[in-house]
Amino acid sequence: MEKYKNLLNKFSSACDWASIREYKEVTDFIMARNAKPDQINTTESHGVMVEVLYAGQVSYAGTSDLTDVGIQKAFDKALNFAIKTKENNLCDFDESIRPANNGEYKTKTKIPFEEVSLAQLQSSLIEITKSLKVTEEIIEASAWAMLTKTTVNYISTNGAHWSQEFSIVSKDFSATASRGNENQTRSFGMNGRQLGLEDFDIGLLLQEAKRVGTQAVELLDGEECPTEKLDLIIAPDQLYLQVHESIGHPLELDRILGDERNYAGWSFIGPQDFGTRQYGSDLLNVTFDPLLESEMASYVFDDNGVKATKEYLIKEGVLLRGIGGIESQTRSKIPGVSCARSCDWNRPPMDRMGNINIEPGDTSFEEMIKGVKKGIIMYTNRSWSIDDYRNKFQFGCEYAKLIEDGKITKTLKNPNYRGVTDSFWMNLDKVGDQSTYEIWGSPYCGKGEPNQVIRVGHAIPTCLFKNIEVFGGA
Amino acid sequence: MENYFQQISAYTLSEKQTDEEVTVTLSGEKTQFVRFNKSKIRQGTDVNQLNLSIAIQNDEKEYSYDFSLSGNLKSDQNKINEIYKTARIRMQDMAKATFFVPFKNNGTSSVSNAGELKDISELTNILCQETVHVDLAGILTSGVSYRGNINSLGQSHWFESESFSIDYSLYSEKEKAVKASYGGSKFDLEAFKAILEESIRNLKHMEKDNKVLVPGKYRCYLAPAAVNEILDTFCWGGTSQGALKQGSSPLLPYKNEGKRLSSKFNLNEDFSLGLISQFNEDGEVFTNKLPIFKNGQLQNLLVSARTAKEYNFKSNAANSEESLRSPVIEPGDLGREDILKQLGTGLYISNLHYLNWSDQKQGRITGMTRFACFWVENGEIVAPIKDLRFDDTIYNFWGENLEQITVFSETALDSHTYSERSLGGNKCPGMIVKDFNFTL
Repeated sequence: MEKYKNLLNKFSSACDWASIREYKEVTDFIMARNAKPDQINTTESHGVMVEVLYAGQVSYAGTSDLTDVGIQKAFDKALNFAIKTKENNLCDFDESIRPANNGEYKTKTKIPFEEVSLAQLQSSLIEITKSLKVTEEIIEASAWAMLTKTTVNYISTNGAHWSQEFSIVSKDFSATASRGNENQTRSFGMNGRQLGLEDFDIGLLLQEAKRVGTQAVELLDGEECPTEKLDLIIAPDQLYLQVHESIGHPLELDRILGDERNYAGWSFIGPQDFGTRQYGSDLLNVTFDPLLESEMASYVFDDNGVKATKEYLIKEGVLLRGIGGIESQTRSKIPGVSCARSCDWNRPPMDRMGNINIEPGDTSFEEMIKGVKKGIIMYTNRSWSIDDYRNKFQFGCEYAKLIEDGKITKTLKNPNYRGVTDSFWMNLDKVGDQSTYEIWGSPYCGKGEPNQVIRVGHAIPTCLFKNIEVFGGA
Repeated sequence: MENYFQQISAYTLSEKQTDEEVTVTLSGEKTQFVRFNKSKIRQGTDVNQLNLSIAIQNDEKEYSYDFSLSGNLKSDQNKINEIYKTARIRMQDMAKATFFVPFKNNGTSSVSNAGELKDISELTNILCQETVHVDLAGILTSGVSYRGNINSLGQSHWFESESFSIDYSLYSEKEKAVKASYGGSKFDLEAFKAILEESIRNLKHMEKDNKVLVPGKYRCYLAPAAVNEILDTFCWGGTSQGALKQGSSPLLPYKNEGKRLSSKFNLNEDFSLGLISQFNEDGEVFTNKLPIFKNGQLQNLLVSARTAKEYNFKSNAANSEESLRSPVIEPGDLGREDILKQLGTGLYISNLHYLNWSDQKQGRITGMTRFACFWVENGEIVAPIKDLRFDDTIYNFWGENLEQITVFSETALDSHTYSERSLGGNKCPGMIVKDFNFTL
């Protein structure tokens, strides 16, 4: 950081404010297929992003040339662009949008990645694919793990100085069963957590693999999901994506401000909705929680250097806050959260979801089932799509169970549901208790121009929705 | 940049041991991105990045390490030494590759598409000035991209391309929107103005109140940009031989149930578009043109060297995903002036959004209408529509429901910029389809 401090001292007289964010990320990817080793590879991204505030506009230049000359060149490019285009700025910022915070963060881990070799991990993945193959009808079984270490160092001309180190384990496995013309795939559900290798508990994963393989075969005999309006119970491994698409994205303040209109889209939510709009039933409590230990997007500073705090976005169904960092809050005057993040050294920060969670309720899974006359439980996402205002959605799941007269009866294949965000969350009828609450996370949330894919976390209980349109396969 | 790549790859190969074979792949760019909202600059970002991948084979084991090059020779050489050290330790206890494909010499090639790019600040100011009276959101991208591939067996490929693109949408006060793009290797103000004026005219057509349609089956004209979105989704597993063997391909009904596409449907992988390097990550060079569907009949699937080894096929130099990199759907005979007349009554769909397989194994795709989409009655545009969700199979809209294909096509550059600026694109005509299925 001393080197960057010296460079910033040089830069400070030419601009109103500047920072250097160094980002290094190393990911090991390990895979096995059909009881055999597959690929092992490593990806490392390392560079700096120089931010320059000049005449109200923040300009950015990223470089993988970490020499003083390389960073100086990046600074010159960012400054030069800001000077030459200053008449056409959208925003008029000052250095208050980059608070001078100091501190450190490190993921709490029990088993560091270094304690197990990649070859050993691959051997475990091979064992998982063996467990997936419960019968000869499993024609494809695969398993992968991704171990990521990320270090971010940030320093600015107004005294910000912080570092964060993240350790992330992502994994998934799946089995495809085939009989005649019927093919069905069941997976664990892609999940990522901020943990060490304690998250890769091979004993537990082997049990789960057996369940996944068994359910893939079970689907071959499953009945087609019916087409009608029913009670729908959604398990956390599907509901997290529903939250992501129909609560997370529409509440992003940069979308509401129109930055994202040309790519991912706008939002059905407007500035006037905050503080007044009933977003869902009064059982709906949604938080932005960057401090939940082990969730994928936990941190203490966002990439604008703003301290992270837990906040309610929706409380008892009422919309309170947007998912917008300090820049969007300044522009919109809407309360937001510390969520300005960038996916790498080569992209500027923008409003991202972080950890967006539904707070648990008080209904056990058994009580939820008992209360359903006819309904369906759906598990694990396999398809997703939503419109550019985040209203009309359609989701497909891998596996479902029929509920009749308060009891789980048959297995259903090709389960799908569709709806409109606005009415869907009003139909929330039961929120599962702590025993149904699971922490999920995805490494692949895409957004922005230029495009960025980033990690997000969602901690979710099982929930029951009334009167949802469900349907089956082609 | 080619010189630096030669230098750094020569060093990498000089450090290999006699029992190792090594492939060095470069992917790099010097790009300026400018993001716009309300015809003003939201964020300007300059990116200078070089990523090198070193793939090592030894004793039928393979391991690769990708990393960011600094561009400083001494520092990059030190990093390469570190990577060799890590790789050799890791490879010691690795298992032999299951379907080992040894590197080979796939020849040499060098393509350089030079452009005449304007200074990014100047271009940005022009764009703001020309759009001062409209509400524009979008992105300007300009710069040079590099791809290189050299291996220890003598293979050597280089691809370099300079270009810019302006991908934008315009908005009315009623939140109606139209989308357009303009790009190339040299900015022409008059050409840009013409496209912008057309966008402004189209936006005026959107000012009428939306017609709200109930879900159901509608006759549709899918403009080239909408067909492009469907083709993009189809490329996600649709042309992969591996996916077909592993039970996840949308062509399973074609293979197992005799479902067919229309005899009007012709799809090729066609590198004559010149948008992307013809060599894949292993340096294998794809043929200039490969038919995928001819008159609705499947001719070829994409086969990577790895799939070829696993399932005993012949590789056709596909990439590891076995996805199309330069697809072209052949045009038909429907003239531009006859589109509305032939459509008669139905939907004119300019763009589609957020497509995904809703049931990949059955070839079913869902997505939304977006931007300028209209209700047409008796060959006349009546009103813009409120957005609709479609959910239909390729065997319907590219099969028995495909009625006519336009005589003209449009080339769409791949505008994705995840990690780095993408190369490639596709070329699609428009299509008239009956009974296109809308569900929401």
